[in-house]
This record gives sequence, structure tokens and C-alpha cells, in this order.
Amino acid sequence: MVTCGTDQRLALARLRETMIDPARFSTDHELISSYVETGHPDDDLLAVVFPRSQTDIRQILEVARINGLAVYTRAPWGVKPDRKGILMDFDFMSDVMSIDEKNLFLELEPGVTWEQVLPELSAHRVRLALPAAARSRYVLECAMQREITLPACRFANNQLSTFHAVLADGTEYRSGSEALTSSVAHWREDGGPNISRVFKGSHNTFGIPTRAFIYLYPLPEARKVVAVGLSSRKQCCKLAARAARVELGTEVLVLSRDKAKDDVWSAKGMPAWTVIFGLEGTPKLVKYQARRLKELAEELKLTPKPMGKEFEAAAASALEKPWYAPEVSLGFYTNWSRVDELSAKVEAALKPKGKLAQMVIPVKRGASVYVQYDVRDGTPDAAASVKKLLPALADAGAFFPDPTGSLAMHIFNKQPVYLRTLRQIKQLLDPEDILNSGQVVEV
Amino acid sequence: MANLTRNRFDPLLQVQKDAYRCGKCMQCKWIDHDLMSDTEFMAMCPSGARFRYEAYYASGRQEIARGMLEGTLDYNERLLHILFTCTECGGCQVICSNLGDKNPLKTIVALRERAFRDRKAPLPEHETLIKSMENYENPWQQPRSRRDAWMKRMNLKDARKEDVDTLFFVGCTAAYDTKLQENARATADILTMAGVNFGVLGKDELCCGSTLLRMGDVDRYKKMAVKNIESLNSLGVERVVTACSGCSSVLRHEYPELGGLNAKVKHATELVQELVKKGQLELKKPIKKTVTYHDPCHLGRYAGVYEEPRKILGAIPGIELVEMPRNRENAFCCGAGAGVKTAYPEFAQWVARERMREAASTGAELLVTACPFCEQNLGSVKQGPEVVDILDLVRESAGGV
Amino acid sequence: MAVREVDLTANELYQEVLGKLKEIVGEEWATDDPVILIGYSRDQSLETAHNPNVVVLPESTKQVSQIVALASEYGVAVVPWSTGGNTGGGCIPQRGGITCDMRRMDRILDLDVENMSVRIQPGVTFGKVYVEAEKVGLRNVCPSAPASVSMLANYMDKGVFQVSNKYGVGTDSILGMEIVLADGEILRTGCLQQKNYGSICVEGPGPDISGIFHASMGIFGICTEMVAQLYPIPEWEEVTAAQFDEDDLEAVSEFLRQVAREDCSLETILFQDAYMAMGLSDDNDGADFIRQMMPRQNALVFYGGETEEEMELRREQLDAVFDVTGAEHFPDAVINLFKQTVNWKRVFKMIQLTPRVERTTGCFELFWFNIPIDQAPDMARQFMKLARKNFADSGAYREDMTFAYEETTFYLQPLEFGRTGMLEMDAYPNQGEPEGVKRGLAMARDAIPFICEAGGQFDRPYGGEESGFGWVQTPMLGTYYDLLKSLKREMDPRNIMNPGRLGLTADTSEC
Repeated sequence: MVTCGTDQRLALARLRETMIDPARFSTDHELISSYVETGHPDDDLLAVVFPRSQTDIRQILEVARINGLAVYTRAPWGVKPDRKGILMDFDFMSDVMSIDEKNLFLELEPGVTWEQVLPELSAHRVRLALPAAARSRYVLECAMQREITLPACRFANNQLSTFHAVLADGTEYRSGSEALTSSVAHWREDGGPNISRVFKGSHNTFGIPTRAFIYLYPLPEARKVVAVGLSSRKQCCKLAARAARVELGTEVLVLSRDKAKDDVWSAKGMPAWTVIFGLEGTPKLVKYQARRLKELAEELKLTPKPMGKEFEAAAASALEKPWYAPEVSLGFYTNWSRVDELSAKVEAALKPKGKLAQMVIPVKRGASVYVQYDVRDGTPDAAASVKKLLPALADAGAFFPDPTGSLAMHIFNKQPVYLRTLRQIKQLLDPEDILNSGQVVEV
Repeated sequence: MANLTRNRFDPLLQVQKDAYRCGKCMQCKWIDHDLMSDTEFMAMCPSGARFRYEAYYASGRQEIARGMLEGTLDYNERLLHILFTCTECGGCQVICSNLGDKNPLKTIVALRERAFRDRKAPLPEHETLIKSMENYENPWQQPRSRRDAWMKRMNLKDARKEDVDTLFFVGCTAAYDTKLQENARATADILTMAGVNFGVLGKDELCCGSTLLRMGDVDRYKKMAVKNIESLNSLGVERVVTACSGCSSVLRHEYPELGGLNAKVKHATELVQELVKKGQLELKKPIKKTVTYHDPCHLGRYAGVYEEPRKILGAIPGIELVEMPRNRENAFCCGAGAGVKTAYPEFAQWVARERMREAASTGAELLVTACPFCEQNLGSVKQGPEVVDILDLVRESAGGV
Repeated sequence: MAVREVDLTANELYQEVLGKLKEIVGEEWATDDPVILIGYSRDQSLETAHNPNVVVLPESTKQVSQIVALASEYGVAVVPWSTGGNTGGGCIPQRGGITCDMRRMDRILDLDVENMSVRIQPGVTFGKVYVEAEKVGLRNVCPSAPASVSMLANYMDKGVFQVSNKYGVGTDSILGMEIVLADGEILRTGCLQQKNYGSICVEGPGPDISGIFHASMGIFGICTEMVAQLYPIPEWEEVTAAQFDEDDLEAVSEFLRQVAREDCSLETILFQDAYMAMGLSDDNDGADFIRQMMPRQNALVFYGGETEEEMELRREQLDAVFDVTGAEHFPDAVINLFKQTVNWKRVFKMIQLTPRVERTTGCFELFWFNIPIDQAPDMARQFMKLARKNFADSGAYREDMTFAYEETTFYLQPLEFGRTGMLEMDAYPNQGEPEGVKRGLAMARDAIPFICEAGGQFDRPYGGEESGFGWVQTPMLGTYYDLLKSLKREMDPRNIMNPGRLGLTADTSEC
């Protein structure tokens, strides 16, 4: 790492100058602390800057490079700075640049939130695949981090088409067909090896995304949400798996009682488990799907209890908003056959630490599943317990798609050559380890 | 590196276009995927399946032809191995001509012809065979005097002397192989039982020349074929029947280029099926066996005769036919043809073992075939069902011994 | 990894290498015999034939690893060959070296019915997986390519399928990979990154490095194992088709876009009359005859579902698309002919067309690229002008073909929800005639820059310097190209892995 001058005051002065608007630069300690993970020292973070454009970002990076500072970007539960640096927040880069209803793309900047974009889409006959356990309120970040979506059963989990990014040396990088300046296709695949994929799941350690094209989906002609209750997770998974396989349901969600109560609708006498199906198509098709679900349950010798119109209306409404994961939570991918086994591990470790709300989502027609646990009303050590559990769960075969920090190193180290390859990429893209130093890949 | 002269007699010039136009679709390695049912048995090309290098498949042999035409390849032991381990089963030909409109078999034959012309063939192992053809007019190094040994104690008409409408052309393998002579006897018995007015040539029968042709010794083949055509045409018969697939293929499909026979050529299974249909031959005795049927290359792919043998089996009471995964135009070769058994007996055995493994997978008690050469090679494998000729079953069911 | 400094002639070098290869794989499975090497020198592209120096046939990942490590030690190139079906010269060695023929690695290692996945080696063909998966009610997604090609290689190469409007492209179906890197180390990604993950639909873990190996033609490593997604076979399936008499490519494109957007079909295939006729007949004369009865453009749409009722409802959705777009239904008689002639329920029923098209001239020159669907017609017309320019007056080179050289084919595959399309335009040079090759290369030189400049993107940049998309497009990709070069230098410092691809040098000295 090159340190070319370590006068932090000069660096901060330069940044203040670059940002021009005082609202876009802060050294306020309270503000800075809010970006740092609870319990982690915050004195390495010197300032928060709010770039407005790619040009700003380049300038920030230049200042950082010259002065040997790291540049962090906000992380869902806070960054853990491992050396002196500044944090970049994209709230001033919050333009929805275009909504292409015909070709089904949404072009936006990194500061666009779900809450901001959804009303804008309402004027068009299109929608987004909403997150099911978002750790970020920013649409682009969720897409880059491959957050699980509510309609993961039917829509491929990848929601990101192409993106632009600024690399650590200030160069602009464009992914997919965007790399060819004449291209108009917004095709996610690169014109060669899909090198751009390394940016996904990287928590901005390889480059700072400045713009992205996210997939939109047409609104269906008809839609109906059906919800049924069953007495066990096993029964729910059985029904969900079968329905997913035959494509009954754009959204198929298995919820524990607490999850359903907290995120959908709370009523007395709710069953232990609920399955929600979002059915779509022509009116006749939707009607058929609703009937077919009942038949499937019978074929599987299940006797689900209809959750009722109120619950279903609440579910329909809930499915039109993003679902956020609380800070104390975990989620992983696995196969149907391992849900019980891995859930047992989670419950053994975390039940004493708070209320566990579980959700199981079939992915890609039920070829695999995503398991989400929220820990609500947790004990003071609940977060620590979750953190302690994760490596053991990974060892047991739970797949964490985008780990950070020690969990990341634990997982990557299982295959030294995997870590080596990541480090080679990091070395190429950010040889001075400026971007989110130590968050994902330690150089 | 040899600088092989390209001249107008170069057989590779006839296949030049195919050699350059191979589209590398790789279909020549496999049976038709549309008809595939068992991936354990999906290979089509015997030499490719065994030796695996690209050159052992039709697509690779096209490249060799290209290399020979361009003068960039020289003969060596490996090249000859590649050329002469092909059994000319026609598997690649069927799929390629269907899909790609090319003739890889023609390329393979042309490569062999070229090897002969360049005096790089025959292989030492084939020289014995050729000498036998020259001296005895059969490939088995057996004297002519023993050619009619199979018919001793049978009172069969002499086609040269007596008025017959059908010639039973026995073929060298059935005539000389003591085990397979029973095929010849069975055929004769069946024709007798069906009241067919047939005769034989006995000692005067000549080899059809198939082995020479398939090996690539076209000049010697032509000499033998012309002689045979004269001999057979002089008989004035309406029909020539043979129980050997190789013979029927040559007599029917190759002889016309040299003038051809006046008589109609049929394989015995075609005739038997007709006779059964007409009621001239009654298959009444049950044979309670589960059988599978091996399509000989020269009867199946070369002549398109697939259903007649199956209809015959269907007409025998008690027979239950279970098809191998590779059947009809997808049938895997027995491994013996085109001089392969003579030059590379181990490889021929390997191919036979593969086929018998497939036969065993059906659970059949018998493997039935319609070619003595197939029967000979497949029957030499210790494992798998017993190998019999279809005509043996026909004779038994028709009441013959 | 030790680098051996050798002071040997090339011949001595390869003799030494050959000896060591035989120690790894056995005497039988490595050779430098020219009669063997020539089999690996060419494919159906117009790239010049080049022999490798040695061919080796490993049977395990361990052997591949040892081979690559050896190659790295000696600084010799390694070119992977799965089934040899590459259409863009990807397996033709640019700098000699070792061709690593993977066909002995031809096992289906696992077929996971519950999780709908299959674990395969490089020598496993599409057809092999299809037959096995069919037995358990599953299927792979088959490409517009023969059933004999490597499923692993095709998926890695971003294969586009008739089902791409529903299931995406090849890379979307990759769950995990095992790769031998340039130093012989073995890397596992996705669900293979750890032994007990099971077959899960994931990227990662962490930053997704698996993408580096997609469409890379082995320049970063050799894939020796893959876990791939399978899909359910619909219980009920039917086919309908729309016909377009004139060359109304706008109407065709809009129809396909709407079908994809409605997500009511299982597969869509667009065939020009000659192409369709090829599929329905056994020879060129027959194709010529059938072609006269065919409409110019034929969009086949397969639909279905779990039940007959669902299938009928999907048909109603499709009929609505017909109404909205004004498309005309095929006559039932033609649909019936199609159903009688081909085994239409087997996914590769129509992909046998690819070799059949080669009946014209032995090969066809593919240009397939990404373009928004509504721009496809204009692009196609410009392309056709180029084809006419390059192949006009080709009368001397015509053979018994079904259609003329100057004709091209327009094959448009809508991708998910019709967001974009993959357009394949084919030309038909004759590999067997020097003039044909010359015209084909001229066509490539005209068409590739035109396509790039007009907004099309080649996402599979095949080919070498003569006719390759990669050589033209890749240098146009700005920072991506810089990153590609840097990555290549970093991961393969001796430039041994299939050198000379993607606009990268074949030379060792520049690495």
C-alpha cells in the first residue's frame, strides 16, 4: 500500500472543497458513528462524503489514494474500518434515470431506495422483484448483493442486468453489453468471459457502482394471493416444493407463525405455519391455479386451512412492498432435504436468544431453497450468538452467498485457491486496497 | 514426408469435397439421439469407442483424407491402424448422410483403396487372406475340394446341371466353418421344406469378393466379382438366395457396378418371411425362449432389411423378442467385418464383448442373428446369451431337425 | 510452481513432454503422431487448420491437473477439447502445444432428482443427459446445436436455447464448477465450493469468480466438472406456429417478443423456410420441394403445463398474442407433418437441423449476437446486404443446395420476457472450395465490425484472427478489455492456456 502523504487534515480539506456543498461532507462524530458497526471502534473513519456524480467519486478516490486513506461504502449493519478512511454515502446519487416499459429495464443510481422507486413505477405497467430479506434499502445495492427476492420461485434470482462502476484508480468500468459503447441491448453477459460477475456480492470492494440496469417485469393481467395454514414446516415445505415444481405461484413463501404475524397479519389462532402463493396470469389461469393448489394438497394428503380473506388481502399488500431483514438475522441457501437439519442447528443456538421468525423460499422452481431467520426481541448477546453460529452453520453446509469479515475468510479459506483467486482480482483492481479495505477480501 | 502424386486415379479425389466439408457435428460417434434409450449403449463407432482419438471416428478420418490429399501426412503403423480398424459397419454413414448429406464410408473405403494403390496395404495379416483368395478363392485357406463338405449326406440339386429357379449361394464362412456349416444345412432344409426349387454350386462356388472389397483391394475384388457374375448369370436362375449378409450385400449392391446379376438377390430372411406369409412354410413348433436380435450391418444398414427377421421371430410361437438399446440402423457392429477380425483379432473381440454385454443387458437367453460372420465373432465371446442363427430357429420351428 | 528453463529444440521439448504425459495417463493415451494430431486441427469454422504438437486423453481431474502443471513447467500451450463441436475455432491450437481431449471424462456423476440437477464431466453430451434425465421426468435445456456436443462446454459458452425465453442462457443453469487453473491447482465455485453444499442455485460464495471462466475457451482454466440445473418435463405439451409470408421481420420480431413477455410458452423457435424444409426432409431435393410450400418465416411455439387444462389455458394466452400481433396460424396439415416427421417431443428434435443445414455447403458461418428485439429486423436487412455483396455471383460454387449462397438465415431467439434477443444470422460459404473460404472470410471481415458498430454485442467472442468475433470486438470493450488482459497475465503468466483467443496474444513473450 502506498502512502503518499498522510496529512489527514489536508485530505479532509480537499474533500470538503471537492464536495462544494457543505451538506455533502461531514466530520460529525455522531453521524460517522452511525455508519460503523455497533461495538466496532469508529475513530478510523474520518468523514462521510456524499458524491453526486461519477466525477465526484473519481475525485474522492484520488484524494484517498494520494493520502493513503481507505474508502468505505455503507454496509447494512455498519462498516468495520480496519484503517483510516472515509465513507461514501450515495444519497445524493438518487436519480431514477429511465423506466423502459417495453424492454423491461429500470436504470438508476445507487442512492435510489425502494421507497423512492415504487411510487414512480406505479405510473407504468411494470414492477420489480422485491426483496424478501433486504439488508439494504437501496435498490442497486440489493441487486449487486443478490438479495433473495419474494418471487425467487419464478423469477431468476439475479435482478441485475448491466452496471457502470468506478474502479479504485478512477477508471470507469462497464459491464455486459454496456462495455461496447455502441450497444443498446443492456445484455448482462459480458462480451467474453463474465468477469463483471466478480463485482456482484463484493460489497464494492472491487469497484463502486454508479449506475445499473435492473430487471422489470410486466404486470400480470390478473393476480390473486392464496394463503393456507398447516401445522408443520415439513408439511408446508412439501406443498411449497410441489407447487414450485409445477410453477404454481410467482411468490411461494413458507412462514412461521411469528414471521407471518410480524410481516403480514396478526390474528388470533394463527396456525403454526403458513404458505403464501402469489398466483398470476390470465383470470382463467389464476382461477385454475387456485383450484389446482387445493388438488395438490389433497394429492399430498395434506389438509391445509385457508387463512381467510383478511389475511390474504394483507399478504397481497405485503407482497407489494420490500421485506427487510432485521439487524439480528441470518439467511442461507440449501436443499429441501436439509432444511430441517440446518434449522435445528439454528434453533438450538438461537431459541434462547429471542423470538425466531423463519421463512423458507423455494428458489427457481424449487430447485433449492433459501432459509431466513429473523431474531426478534433478542437478548443483548443475540447478535453475538448469531455471529458465533454462522461459521458452524457454514461448515454444516449452509451456503451464505455474500459473507463479510471473518465469516468470509472462514468460508473462502476452505479452499485456499479460492481465496488466492479473490486476492488476485483484488490486487488487480485495487492494488492499494482502498475500497472497503478488510470488509470482504483481506489482501 | 512422402510427396504422394495426385493423379486422376487417386481414389481420394472422389471424396475430396466431403473431406473438406465435414462440419464436425460429431454425430458420427453416436447412435441417433432421437432413438436413444440407454446411455450405457450409445456409441456407434466401434473403433472410436475403443481407441478414442478423434482420428478413429469418421470425422477424424475425413481429416486424414484431407491430410493425404494435401500431402501433409505420411503412412505409418498408426495410420494403417486407423484405416483398417474400421469395420465399415456404416453407422457413421447412416447418420451423416441423413443429417449432413455426406458419405464418410466412401471416404474410408477410398483411404483403403489409396493404401493399396500406394502399396502400403495389404497389412501382413491380410496377405494370408489375400493369398488364400488367390489360391483357393476363399478367405479361409481351405481347399476348394472341401467347399461342399457341409452338404455331404444331403441330396441337393446341382444348379449347373439341373433345372432350378433359385440358387442357394452358401458363402465361404458357412461353407468352411465347421460350426457354422449348420447354418448352411438349416437354410437348405428350410428351402426344401418350403418346396423351393433350388440348387447349389457346391465346390464350384466362388467367394463373393466382399472381404477384398471391404479391405480395399478393389482390383482383386473386381476380378473375382466379374468371374462370379459370369458364373452366376450362366445358371439362368431367377433368384439367388444367401444366408450371409456380407454376400447378399455385395451381390445385390456392388455387383451392379460391374454389370450385375440377372437374377434377383435376396437374403434368406427375406425369402423365409415371404414363404411364411404365403403359407409355404409353417412355423408350428413352439420355442419358448426370450431372444434378442442383432442386426448384421450388411443386412441392416447396407440393405435396409430390419423387419423381416423380426417378423419371422414374431411368427415363431413362444419366442419373446426383447430389443437391444442399439437396434436396426443403430445396431452396434459385431466387430468382425472388413478384415478387422483377421488383422486385429483382439479389437474384434473387444467389439464383440461390447455387443454381448449389451445383449446380456436385455436378459435374453439367446442372441439371434442373420449372418454367419456375426455369429462366428459374437459366438466366440464367453459371456452373454447363446448366439444362434435365425435360420436354426426357423428350421426347428418348421419341424426340421 | 517451478518453471523449467529448457534449452531444447521444439522437437526435443515435446518429446520430453510426451514422455511425461505418458507417465500421467498411460502409454495409450498420449501421442504426437501426426495422423492423430490432424484430427484436432480443424472445426467447421473457416479458421485455418493448425495441429497441436501432442494430444493427451486424461480420464480424471487429477490427471488434467498434472497435465496442466506439466505444461506450465515447460511453457507449452494447453488447448481443451471436450467433444470438438466448437463452431468458432475455439479448439484449434494457435501456438501448437497440447490438445487435452476430455472425451474419456464422459460420466454423469450424479443425477439429483429432488433438486433437479446433474453433475457431469466434459465429455458428457447433451443427448446423454437428456436420455437419463427423461427417465426421471427432467430435462436439460438443449442448445441450437447437435445433441452430440458437450453439455458442460455449451453451458460455459453461454449456449442459447429454444427455451431461453423461459430458462435463460447456459450460464444461468450452472450451479457449480470445478476448474483446473493454469498452474494445475483445482478451483471449485458455486455449490461445489464446499463438499456439503448440495446442488443449490447460487452464485459465489462472495464475489462471483465463476464468471471468469464463462465463454473463456479455457484461457483461464479447464473445467473438469459441472453441476447444472435440470428442469421439469411438462406432462402436457403441444405445438403451434405462426407464419409470415412476406419478409415482414417486424411482425415476426413483435410476435416473438410478445410471446416471451407473456411467459406463456415453453420454447420458441424461429425458422426460415429453407431451414425448416431441411429439418423435414432427408435430402436437398426433398427440402427444395417442401420449401415451396412453406411460408417464409415460421415461428414454432411449444406450450404446455402440468395438466391438459393448464396447457389449454396457455394456448388461450398464445391465441391472444396471435390476435394482438396479427400473426397467422400455420395450417394444421403442416403442423401434423411436422409432428409426424420429427420426434418433436424430444428437445433436440429440431436441433438436429444444425448438421442438416451443413448439407448445403458443409458448414455455415454463424454470427450470433445480442440486440433489442425491435432492432433485429433492421440489423438483419443490413446483414443480408453484406451477404449478397460477398456471395453474389457465386454461381460457380453452387452445388446441389437448397438455397443460394447469397441467402442468409434469420434466427431470432427472444430472451427472458422479451427484454432482448439473440439474433443469429448465418451465411453459407463452402469450406471445400478456396473461393468459398475467401468469400466467407470477407463476409466475416465485413459483418463483425458492422454488427459491433450497429449496436449488436457478441457475448461469445469466438474465433481467431481470421474470422473471429473476439478479435474485432474485444479491443472495443474499453476497461473490460484491460481487465481481461490483466487477469490473463495474472492467472496465466506463461500464457499457456489456449493462447491467442479473445483478441489476446498467442505469444509467450508479451505475457
